Amino acid sequence: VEIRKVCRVIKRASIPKGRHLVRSTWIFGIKRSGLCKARLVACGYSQIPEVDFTESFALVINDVSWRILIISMLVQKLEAKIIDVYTAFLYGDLYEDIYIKCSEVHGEDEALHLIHAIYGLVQVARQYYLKFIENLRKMGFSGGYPDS
Amino acid sequence: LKSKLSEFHILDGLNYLNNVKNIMKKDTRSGLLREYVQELKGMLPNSYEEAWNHPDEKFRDRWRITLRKELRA
Repeated sequence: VEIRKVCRVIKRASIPKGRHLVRSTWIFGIKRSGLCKARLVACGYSQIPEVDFTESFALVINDVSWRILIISMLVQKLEAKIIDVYTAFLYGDLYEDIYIKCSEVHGEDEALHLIHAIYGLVQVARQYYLKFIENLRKMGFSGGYPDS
Repeated sequence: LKSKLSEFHILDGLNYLNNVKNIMKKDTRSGLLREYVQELKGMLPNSYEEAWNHPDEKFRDRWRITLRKELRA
């Protein structure tokens, strides 16, 4: 399985002055198959608005719209396909430079500079949403009036 | 079966249950798997250090593999 690089290790001295480090924590889980899972997540509460993120709104479908979609699918006898994007939020591109503190692994003189979004960031859902619609548009889909 | 499983390490028990799909009734297997997963969830580490230096060798090996995988990204 291809591993996508989401961050790079940098020296703390190379971080621009005045920038603070976003805290991180580890989340552990175990699957029914016995597979152990571990993920480094950002502590979104330690992000500073207008510095580490600007907007966080991510559009999701309205429940009424969803029902209309399902009914029109049934009426017009259309086929539906369900897709599942594994680790979806890790695909979001970041507009801000975010530096993560991960001293338990990299020590006090190093930090992580994020290349892509990671779970826990305030803007993670929005960044994935933007990536998702960008790809839908590339595929030839177009949004309705409110989306444009 | 329960007494046989109790002799195993919890991870070996889980592996055993995952590999005996045709021998056991689906409901029995599913119930036992649920019990195992619940027990394992109560044993999850709380920090990186706890996972990396887990006192149990089998858990430690698994946590180290998964932590290395995450750190490669």
